Amino acid sequence: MTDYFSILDQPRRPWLEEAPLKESFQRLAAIQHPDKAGTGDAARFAVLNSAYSTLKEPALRLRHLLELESEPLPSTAQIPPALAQVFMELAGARGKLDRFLAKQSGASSPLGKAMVAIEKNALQESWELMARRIRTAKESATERLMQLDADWHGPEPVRETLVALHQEFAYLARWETQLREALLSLAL
Amino acid sequence: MSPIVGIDLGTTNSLIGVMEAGFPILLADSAGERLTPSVVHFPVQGGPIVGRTAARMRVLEPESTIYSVKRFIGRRAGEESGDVGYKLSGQPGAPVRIRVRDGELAPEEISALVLAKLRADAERALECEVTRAVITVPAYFNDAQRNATKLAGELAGFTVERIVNEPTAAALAYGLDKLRDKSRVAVFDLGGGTFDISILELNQGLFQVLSTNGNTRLGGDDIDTAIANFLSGKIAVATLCETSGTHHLAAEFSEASPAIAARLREAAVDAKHQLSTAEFTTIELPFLAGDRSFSHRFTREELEKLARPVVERTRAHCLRALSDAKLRPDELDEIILVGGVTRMPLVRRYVAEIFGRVPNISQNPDEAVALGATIQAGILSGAVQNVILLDITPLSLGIETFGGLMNVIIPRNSTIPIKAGEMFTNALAGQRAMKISVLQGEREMAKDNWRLGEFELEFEPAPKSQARVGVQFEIDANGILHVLARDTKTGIEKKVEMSSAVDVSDEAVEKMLEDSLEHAFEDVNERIFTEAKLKSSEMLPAVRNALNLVGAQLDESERALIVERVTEVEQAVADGAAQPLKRANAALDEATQRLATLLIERAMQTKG
Repeated sequence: MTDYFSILDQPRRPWLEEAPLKESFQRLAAIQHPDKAGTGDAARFAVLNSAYSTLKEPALRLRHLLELESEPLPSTAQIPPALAQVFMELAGARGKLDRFLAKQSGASSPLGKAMVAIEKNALQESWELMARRIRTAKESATERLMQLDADWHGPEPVRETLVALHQEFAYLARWETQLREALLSLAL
Repeated sequence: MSPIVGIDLGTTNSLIGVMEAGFPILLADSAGERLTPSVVHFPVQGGPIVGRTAARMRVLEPESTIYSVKRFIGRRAGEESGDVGYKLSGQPGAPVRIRVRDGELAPEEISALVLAKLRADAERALECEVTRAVITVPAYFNDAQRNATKLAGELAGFTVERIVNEPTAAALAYGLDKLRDKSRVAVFDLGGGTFDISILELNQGLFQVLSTNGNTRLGGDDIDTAIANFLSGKIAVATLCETSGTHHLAAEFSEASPAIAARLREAAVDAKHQLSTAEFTTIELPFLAGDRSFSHRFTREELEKLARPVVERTRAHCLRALSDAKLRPDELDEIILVGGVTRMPLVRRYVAEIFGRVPNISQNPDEAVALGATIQAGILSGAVQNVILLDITPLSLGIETFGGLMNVIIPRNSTIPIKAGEMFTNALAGQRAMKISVLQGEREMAKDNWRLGEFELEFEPAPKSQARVGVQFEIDANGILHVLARDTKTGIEKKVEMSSAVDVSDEAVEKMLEDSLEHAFEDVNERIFTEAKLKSSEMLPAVRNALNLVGAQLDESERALIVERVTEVEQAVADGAAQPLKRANAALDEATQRLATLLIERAMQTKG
């Protein structure tokens, strides 16, 4: 299996700083892109491309790291306890949003539209709150990830924490997408 | 080797350029015009006419004058409203065809004629054969539309070196002189038929597209339609107000009379252009039907009221592009406007509203894309160093899974070229084949997305879940999909041919190539010769005439030289060789310079 860390000249670790990772990608892309006469190579660039999109997302990066360490990932679908609360809130907010969007598309009279507008404001506020909740959850996960990174070559086994954090980041990534979609649908 | 030209194949106008001494320049046609209307007229007799002359035929012969064909390229019948002066055909679900006189043409064949005209213009300007091109497409074009555009290029005799996205090209034109900078820009590209918004990061010569969004059915054409409808409404009212039985007028300009519809549209376009600078204009349509004339004082306010709903449709795309790039408007450094419609004050105000900043209008809205295509051509030829473009695929690519859902394999806004693998196994023991539907789009249900095509995977006979075939989906630098299947047991890899609704069989392509070669262009040498001969036929009588008038004032040797040069030209014409004739013409030009001076002096004297 291809080691994306080495493709991008990065240390094989759970935590990577965004800026140097991006810099490395751009530097290598400028050499390997197929348009670059002499050094360009479409197949090689495609791998570089996959490497970058994997390593820049914590969830994908941790998964790749676990796979490189040749440990099959457990396929648990359980919500990590640290995120249980956020999950419940998000599920509620999504239900509300769906009902609202249905109502909005059905509103045709001026009065109906006015009512919808008022409700929209309230929803926007609750989703911005949701955005803050998710951001906080991500900050917490990132903090623990950096701690794990510090202990990476230490004597204590870290695999369990790594698996748990991977789960957390995977959920967070999915929710961030849902969050962006929700905020967008309220802005349109 | 042929130079690589950059081509903006626009809905309304097309342009062609080439790199010269490190700078992109646009080439003019024989009339000195850089902008070629993307219009093809098919006369009753003779070959197709392309460009300005064809555009003038739109009002006279709307049914055989094809414009805005880009709306139909790579499309299936029934997808696109046939709201044009000419007739469409094709079974619903099959590729759109265009009815011209007694025959039918594919949209890419029409586009090929426009491209062939540009190619001929470039060959005349550069005096060499031109066979390699970079052609632009709207960023939001799907796989079928990109393939069809590439085919159009091939039909016009080009090797298509790259299909490049229009807003990305515009960003190259904007950023070429700012290679040291690091900035984030959005390109707002509202053209005749399509709208794109792209967000890029410029970092020391690396142009990385972060996100793109758009609508391939939104553009200036929609504003023209709104104005034309408004005008026909006015005319209908004016007609109804009159008591003299002229009720038929209102009906006449609709479907019944494509000629009136074309005139209304032409008036709408003119008025729209004028109102970008003027506050009002008068639309005059004399003798619109019989002896009936129409006149209306059209204000910018009226125009903006009609155009606003069209322009407002850009907002959702802008917000989505920002959301996908994970950026807020205030994190952008510039909003660059391109596309003719961005000349409208309304559009500039609206963009400022969306992004909370005054847009950058430093780029020529008509030329930026062609200049960018030319720069990309320069990147490919090596003429432009230290610039690399990392573009993305605008639409998610996926396959249909059990239950009619779309399973995304390559998400939208992924940098290209990119590869992604997917493993398929047999669901039943001994199953020999599996049909896979490839989709492009953002909707959850497979049926709501664009179906690129289908292919069949073959399995070796094996127990359930034991036969395995790996499939590689590759999107190349043109944004075009290639599929490879690999049997994991045998390791045999093969290219998967997809059956697609917009496929044209090889035979058909060859036929099209032959046809177009027949009437669209001759050999480049032949063209140079024809032009050189034209010049000689104009010069030879002029020289004789001048010798009669003022020849006596020349030395004997000067006269002898001119006579010799004339003979050389006559000989070259007789030989039929292009380059010698050009040289002979030039030599005669040189030899007759004093003769010309004398002639002018004589003219001055007679006048005095």
